[in-house]
Formats: sequence, C-alpha cells, structure tokens
Amino acid sequence: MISNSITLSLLNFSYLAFGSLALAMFSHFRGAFNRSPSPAQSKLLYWFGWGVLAVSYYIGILYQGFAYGSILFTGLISLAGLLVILTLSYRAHHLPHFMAGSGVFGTLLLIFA
Amino acid sequence: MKETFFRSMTWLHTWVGLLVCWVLLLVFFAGTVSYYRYEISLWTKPEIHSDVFQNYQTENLTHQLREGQAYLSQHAENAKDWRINFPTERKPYLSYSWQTQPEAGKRRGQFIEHIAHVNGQDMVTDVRNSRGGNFFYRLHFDLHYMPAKIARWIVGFCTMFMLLALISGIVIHKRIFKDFFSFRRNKGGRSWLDAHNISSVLALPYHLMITYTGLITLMLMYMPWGVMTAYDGDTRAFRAELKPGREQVAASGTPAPLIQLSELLPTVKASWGDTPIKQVVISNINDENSRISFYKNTGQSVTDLRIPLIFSGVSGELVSKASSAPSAANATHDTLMSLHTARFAEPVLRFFFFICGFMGCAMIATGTLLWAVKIRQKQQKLIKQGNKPSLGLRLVEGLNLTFIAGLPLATCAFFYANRLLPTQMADRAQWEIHSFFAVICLTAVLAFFDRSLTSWRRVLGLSAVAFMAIPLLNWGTSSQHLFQNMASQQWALAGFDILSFLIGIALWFARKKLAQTHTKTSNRVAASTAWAKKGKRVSTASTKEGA
Amino acid sequence: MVLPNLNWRAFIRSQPINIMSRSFAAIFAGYLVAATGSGLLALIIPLPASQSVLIAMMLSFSFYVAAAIWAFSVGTSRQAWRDLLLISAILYIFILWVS
Repeated sequence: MISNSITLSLLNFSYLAFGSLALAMFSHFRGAFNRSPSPAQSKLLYWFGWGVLAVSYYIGILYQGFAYGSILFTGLISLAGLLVILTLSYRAHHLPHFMAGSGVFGTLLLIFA
Repeated sequence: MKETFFRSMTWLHTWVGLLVCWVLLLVFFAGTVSYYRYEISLWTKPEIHSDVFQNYQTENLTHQLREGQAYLSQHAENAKDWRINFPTERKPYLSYSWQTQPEAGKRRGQFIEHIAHVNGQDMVTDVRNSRGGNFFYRLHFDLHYMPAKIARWIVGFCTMFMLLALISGIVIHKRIFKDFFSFRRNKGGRSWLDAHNISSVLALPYHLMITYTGLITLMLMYMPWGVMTAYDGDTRAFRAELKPGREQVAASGTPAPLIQLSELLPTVKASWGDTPIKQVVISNINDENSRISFYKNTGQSVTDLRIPLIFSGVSGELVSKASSAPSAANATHDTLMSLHTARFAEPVLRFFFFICGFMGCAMIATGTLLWAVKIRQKQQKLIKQGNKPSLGLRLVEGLNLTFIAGLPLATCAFFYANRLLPTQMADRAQWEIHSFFAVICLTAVLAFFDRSLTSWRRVLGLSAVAFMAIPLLNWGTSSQHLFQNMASQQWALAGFDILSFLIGIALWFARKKLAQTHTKTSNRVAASTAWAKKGKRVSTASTKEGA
Repeated sequence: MVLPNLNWRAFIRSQPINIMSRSFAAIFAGYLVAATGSGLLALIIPLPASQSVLIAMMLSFSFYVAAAIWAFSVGTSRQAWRDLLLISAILYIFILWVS
C-alpha cells in the first residue's frame, strides 16, 4: 500500500498546485475571494503552483521510476485538474479551504507512508 | 480555404469531428471499457467466482507443472497447443487450456480452458461461453459483423480524422491557458463548449498518445511502404529481423515424447530469478519439433514485448537466443505500443487510464452535442414558425441519442444477457453480443421517432436503473454476492458491482439534470407563448412588415 | 440530348466542390505523401534496416496529418492537389534514385 499512499499524496499536492494556478488568474481569484488579486499575489500563486507541481513530479519519479512515474503523474494531474475545475464551478468559495486541506493531507500521507 | 488559416482550421475541426464522431465514440467507449477486460471476463463467468482464487507461489510451480502436464496429456492429446496459465494479479487462478486442431479452412481451433479448484483435485470445466471483456477489446478495432481487415481500415480512417481533429483543435483553441479552468454552467451552448474544452485539454496528452499509438499498433497494415522499399516487400524478413526469437517451427510429423516440464524450472529460474512466470505454452505436442515456451509476468515494467524462453520439447535444450538490449527504435516502438495497451498498469494507474478514456468519450460526446445545440439555436426561429429542423440536425440529434445514451444501455444489456441467457444455449456468446447491438438498434428506432429530451430521459433513466441493479443481478445469478466478494477481498468482482452502481447513480443525476432543463425550457416556452398570445397582434403586424 | 441549364464554371468553383476536392486531396494525395515519405525515410536513415523501417513507419502518420492540414490551408483546391502530388512525385523519384 505504500505506493497507493504516495499516489494519493501526490494527487492532493496536484490539486493544491492546480488550485494555486487557477487562483493566479483574475476571474477565478475573484470567484473564490470576492476581490481582485494584487499583481504580487498573482505572481506568488503562479510560481507556487508550478513549484508544487514540479516537486510532486520529482517525488513521483523518485518512488515509481522515470517511465512509470511520468505516466502515473500525467494521469494524476488530469484528475486533479478536473477536481479543481469542478470545485471552481460548484463551490468556488471553498477552493482555498480544500486546497489547504489537501496540502495538509498530502503532507501527512507523505510523511507516514 | 476560408479567409484565414484560423477559420479554415475551425471549419476542419468541426467537420473531421462530426463526420466520424459516432464511430469514434464506439471505439473510445469500447477501448475504455476494455481497460478492465480481464475483470469483466471474470465477472461474466459466475462459475469461477468461488473456490478457484489463489495467488502465484513459487513453491507450487513444480507441482502445478506436473499436474498440468498430466491433466493435459489425459484430456487434450491431439490438441494444437497446450497452455498452463499461472495465477496473476488480474487472473487470480490456475488454469490449463488448449487449442483444438483447426477445422478445414480455418486458421484457429477452439480454445478450451479448465480452471483448477483450490482443493488441488477438482477442475472447473463447465464455464459458460461468453466473450466477456474480450468482446469490448475486439470491438474497438475489429468492430463486429464484418471481416477484421475492413473494420481495421474503417477504424484507422476514423483515427486519422481524430488525429486531425485533435491537431486542428489545439491550433484553434487560442485561449487554451486562459480558459484552462473555465466552466460556465447553465449557459446552454457556452457550457457545452466549456465542457468540450475541459475534457479535451485536461487529458490532452492522453488523447494525443492514445490516438497516435492506436495507429502505430496497426502501422504494418496502414503504412507498409517502409517495408516495401527497404525489404522489397518481404514482410517476413522484416518481422524476423524485428523479433529474432519468434521463428515458428512447423510439426515434423515424427512423434517423440515430451519431457517433464518441471525439469526446465531450474534453467528458467537461473535466467529470470524471482520474476513470476505467467504462462507455459507447449506447441507441436509429442512431435520432434515440439517447443516449450515460458512467458514471464512483466508486472509494472513499461513494455509490451513478450520475450519467451523457448526449449525443445524433446531434449530440453534452450533454443531461443538471448535477447540483446533493444535498439532505440525498438525501445521507442515497444514503449509506444505498451502505452496504448497499458498492460503494465496496476489498479490505481489503470483507474487513471480509465478516467482519461472516459474523458475522451466526454470530449467526443460534448463536441457533437455542442454542434447540435448550436445548430438548433440557429434554426430555432424557423422551427418556431412550423418548419421541420434540417435533415442534418435531425440526423445528428438522432445519432447523438442512439450512441451517447444507447451505448451505456447496450453495455448493460450485454451484462444482463450474460447472466440471464441459458448457460447451455447454443452460440450464447454471440447472442450476448447480439443483445448489445439490438439495444443500439432499438435506441436508433426510438431516436428516429422522438429525439426530444423526453427520449433522452427515458433511455438514461433505464440505463441508470439497469446499472444500479447490477449488484442485485450478480447476487441472484452468482454464488458470491457483493459483500461476500468484499469480505474475501476479491476486488475485481466487488469493484465491478460497485463501479456499475456508481455509474448508475451518475446516469440518474444526468437524467435529473435533463429533467430540470426540460422544466425550465417548457416553463420558458409556456411563458413566451403566453406573451406571444398577448402581443399577437403586434407580432403579426411586424411580420407583415418584415415579409 | 439537352444539357441542363447549369453554369459549369460556377459549379466547379462552388464551395461544395471545393470542399470535396480538398478532402480527396487530403485523403488520397496526403496518403501518397505519407507513403512516399516513409518509404524514402526507411531507405535513407543510416541505421540497420529493421530500425529505420520502424522509425519511418512510426513517423508516417505525422506526414499524413501535415499533408491533410496543408490541403485545407492553401488558397485553392487546385493548389492543394498540385502541392501534394508534386511532393509525392519528388519523394518517389528520390526513392527510385536511392534504391
């Protein structure tokens, strides 16, 4: 089950990353927070999102090898992206909460896997 | 073609999509379902839902080989080949199978499989005839009711259209990053477009990969010209160079006794170590040219190659050459093939593949629904004035209903036929398949007469109930029901029931959503008719002017 | 025999004919481009025969897609036919020359 907890953890991190990338955009930030982001906030969210994505990919190939890990990661981010879009569409105001939750849950899974 | 490259690509994207989308939907649907090919095959054989499950164990190999050889010598002396299939993760049982000698004019004989009971003595021999998951697997490239070659050309043609649709789609999606997360709900055509964009873009690497690798699996048939020029058309020589270990030896006709298979185990272990053995195939049985091939379980390695260790059946000496490290071209080809079949995927990754395949179906379905909605909006004025919708619109709406709503229902029909048709019925495997296509035809007939949302709700509602009832169907027609399977950790069987139930719920929600839209639209229509009646004199006056 | 009162010139230049012509060009002439391209590639790649054939066959579909997009991007359908047939002919001449 070790690989399953890592996969779940990476799913959580990808959700966090994509959520961050979404919030970096004007309209989605407004949807979640009811105010516009400052350019600095936008930039921070943007690079944070990419950063988490990169780290998740690295962890993925560390645990599953380059070939299998890359394939798994591609599938994972498709699902994570879909979940972020559904959140933005149906529960936009909860996106930051879900992101925080997935960050915590992902870290816990990674540590105790 | 149009004024700008962009407009031409938009036009191209619509038409390459629209012309073949229903065939592609069938292909994508069947392909996605066949990710769970072995699990479905297991579910369709209730006779082996209990007392046969075991894990692969190295200690048992010698015993299992001896038993297998004895059993096969007794029951299948004149067979074309024997197989001993060891338990794997996806087929957790031991079985002995063989192929009978092909009848005159046929290339293949009949495949018979007997599964070992866990008590070590009995064999389960009377398993009902069903194609199971293999039906969906074959459906997605061999279609049905036609020779395989024609089907593969049709599917290849449609796949080229799909590839063009993907490339043109990428080119025309200018706001691909800006609109990455956009999904505007309840906005009619706009929402369908967003759904189409999301299902395409989110799984874009998958879509490109699956389409291109699909073409590559049959490239020897579609584009053999490299072989024509470099090998002067000698396909055999090409195949021999490509896979040097794969030479097929014909039976010599001179009988010679077969050695004990278990004697070869030490040599196999020396080469492969602890890698599990998946299958042992014995060909040209009791002949001088008999061959014993050991196939390993490649597990999670991203490869599609099945490089066997081949021994002579008479002397036991190794006849297969050691495989050298594959060249870059071979490795690339192998990786691409394995990406398409995803044989290496363990349950979690397999589920991701399934989700991406489902998104591919969603991409096609939303594309064609988007077109239908848009064109209906365009023709709304004429339709209100009493004209019939155009032939194109009626055709598309009808095909949409037939395939998008019909395919899930047809799949259900296949599963119900599998459990409800008499087990001893002649040709029952084919009749299960006939029920699949019969339901599609019936949906088409319904679509011919009524393409309204009411029909959609009826078909979706029926599929929803049918899918939700699959666990009940399983309970009534198998020795093990869902909770027993969960308790004994048979997750393939339990997962089938659970996933069917969840799909049923999803279809029910889809039906509810349509009901809401219908009420909204009919309320709007009622309101506007009331308004129209009020202002009738005004509108007639204006139409008189406008005419 | 009385010919129908059609303006043949306008018919040839009409949109449906244009589309059909380009479609055939993309499908058939495009296939020729892909076939000759992959055939030539199989001969000229400096690797052992089986490997260059593999590479050529795997790449052939990209040529096909490129040719099809070309057929729908150029100005007229005649140009589409001309370009694709010309490219196939040149590639075929090269094949004859190399083999």
